[in-house]
Amino acid sequence: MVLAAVAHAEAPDFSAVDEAARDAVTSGEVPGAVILVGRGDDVLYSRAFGWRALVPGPEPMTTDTIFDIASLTKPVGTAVAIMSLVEKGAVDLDAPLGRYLKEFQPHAFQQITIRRLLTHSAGLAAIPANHSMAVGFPAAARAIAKMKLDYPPGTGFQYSDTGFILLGEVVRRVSGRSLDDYLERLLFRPLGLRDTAFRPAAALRERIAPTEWNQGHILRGEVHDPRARELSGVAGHAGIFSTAADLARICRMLVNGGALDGRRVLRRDTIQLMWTRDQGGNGTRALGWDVTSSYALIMAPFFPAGSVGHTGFTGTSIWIDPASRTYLILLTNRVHPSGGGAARIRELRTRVTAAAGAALFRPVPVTTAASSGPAADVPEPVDGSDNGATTRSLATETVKSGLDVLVERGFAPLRGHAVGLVTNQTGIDARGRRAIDLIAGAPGVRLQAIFSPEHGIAGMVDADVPHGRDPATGRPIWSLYGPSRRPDSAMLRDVTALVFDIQDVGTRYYTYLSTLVYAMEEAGRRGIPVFVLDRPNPIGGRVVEGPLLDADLESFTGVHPIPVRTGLTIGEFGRLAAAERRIPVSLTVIAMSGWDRSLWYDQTGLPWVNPSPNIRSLTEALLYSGIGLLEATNLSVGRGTATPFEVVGAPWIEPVGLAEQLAPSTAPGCD
Amino acid sequence: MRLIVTDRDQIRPVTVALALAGALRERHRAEFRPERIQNLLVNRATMWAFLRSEPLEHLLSWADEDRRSFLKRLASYLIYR
Repeated sequence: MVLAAVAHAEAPDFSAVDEAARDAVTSGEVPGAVILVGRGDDVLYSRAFGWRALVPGPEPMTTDTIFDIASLTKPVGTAVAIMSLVEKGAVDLDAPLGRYLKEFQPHAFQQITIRRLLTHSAGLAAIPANHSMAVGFPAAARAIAKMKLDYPPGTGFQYSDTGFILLGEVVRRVSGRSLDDYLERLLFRPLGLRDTAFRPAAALRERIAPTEWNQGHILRGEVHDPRARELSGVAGHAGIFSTAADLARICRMLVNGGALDGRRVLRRDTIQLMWTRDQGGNGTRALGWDVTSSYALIMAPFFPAGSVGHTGFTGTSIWIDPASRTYLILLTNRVHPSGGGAARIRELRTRVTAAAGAALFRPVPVTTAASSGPAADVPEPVDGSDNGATTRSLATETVKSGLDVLVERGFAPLRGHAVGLVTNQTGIDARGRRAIDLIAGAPGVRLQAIFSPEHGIAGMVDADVPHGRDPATGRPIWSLYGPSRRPDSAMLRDVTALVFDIQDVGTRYYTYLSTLVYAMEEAGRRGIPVFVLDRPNPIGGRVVEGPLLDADLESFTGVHPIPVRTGLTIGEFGRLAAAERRIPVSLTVIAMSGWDRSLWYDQTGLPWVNPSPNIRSLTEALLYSGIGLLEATNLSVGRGTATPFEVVGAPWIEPVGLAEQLAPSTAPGCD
Repeated sequence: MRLIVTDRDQIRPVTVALALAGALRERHRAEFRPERIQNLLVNRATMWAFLRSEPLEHLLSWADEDRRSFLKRLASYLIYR
């Protein structure tokens, strides 16, 4: 367990940052880059790579290059301006937007608050139409007010330039100064940021990194974002130009608690408020800053928990660890000269952040006890119950799944219920009968609806799964792996009990665990009891292996902080997750009989059904718990072959030497 | 390269994966891009140690700390022996 991560005392080795930047320039991923790493008042690393411009002619990148920082305008400009108004009592974070912009006074906008605009949870569209911005404010506000909301404010998250365009206008109307003028007085001039401005002066032009072709000329000193251009270059979502050195001064001011060189911009508690993860939306954002949203996952996993940051479309990014007062600034001109490259810049950001994070941070362990090995036996149940299991080593054909036990009990726990059944092709009894058909035919039980997880009801789909209908029972099949991954009120209409019967594989990142957690959360909200029909952990229940998931980085592929190889059955996981997440749900696990932790699936006598398209054997299920970790790298782990996860390959691997290096002592039990 | 499980009770697949990734990083540093291991590993301490090319034993020691804390947590939720 890690209490905190700290920057360590010795000089960090940033050679991997150099490697990443050089590779990105050499491969053409970006024309050039400037990278700066700072801690407190010290600059630890500052280098330029590649080319500031390729068109009309090559110009080498320099550390003082001025970049169009695009959406970094949101956190370092607009959010700072709004928070200064909050600090002065001129703006209330929880006030409706209509208090400041009269176009939003109608009741329909009451739930759009300043806070929700800052956290992209106000329901506004991602971007407004370009032409609606061309008229400028205040007409642009009227145009946005006519746009339909994409979702009820406060119920979701959608990154929205529209919201920050409105925040820029809030600054203007509340302060009486345009956003650029306000920030000039609040931030740029007090901190001595001579290379930072909306609409940079012509004298700075030669140091500005040009961006993209636009109507026959390359944009240079003119904002790249088309909506910001329509708004004459001054907008709340984009428009600031700056250098790494100037952005470093803003970072220093922020990590120092709001002041730099005797000039105070914000109070310390205002910055703490701005950087506190907000529970609104989907709980992944702070006020104007990203924490762990989907946009952050290319950087946040490499900086300590509690870090904040942002990215910009032109290829810019900032990540800050407030605790250690450490920050990383990565500026590129990735859109130069012909746009594109969004996917490739994701690689550079991840590599640079990973390299910088590894150089900068070391965890602080809770204890320093010597390791006793990589894995260990799971203890006995605390209540001594074992549901009929014994510690015998082999029990072929004696195991009954939770479904078999339910059938044996005549479905008594479900009598009188209208059941919603979460299941797939693995939901069968020992005789191969579907749980769907068994419950549909059970006396005193009504099958109300069916829910399918990732890969669909038949376990064959390797993409988003559509809703459907079960031909045998006529019941609807609601997909929990499509636009929504949770059962909603319409899907749960008239359901009085939710039953979960899916074979897990004992690995944390298998998404059936997430489907169970989401189902329990939604059922709990509606007072619907949940029954989990337990099934074996196919790779046994004795061994737990691998580190815990960092809790702040939970996602659909890692829903709860447990080890990689869980050692749990799906029923045990449900009990643990419901308790530790404090899910207010009535949970009943219909336990197996005859199973004990030492049993592998092929010792249970239960029929094997592939739990997902690429887990086709018990060996593959076992290897998946480790080799699956490598899947997102540039290795192939055998998907698409006859033996997924049993092979690892890449064109550049020299297999004989690699196999020799992986001596049996390193990887016992594997050749 | 094919992985053959010779003893399913002995093999520790997470250890195998980290050992394999470490060997690839050592032998093919210019080609292998290990950063996205973190997509599913989701553990900063282990990932930082890996990227610093620390010995496998160090990586496993972090996981071992985690395992100990997890074993304490899970006891009351177990159903089977």
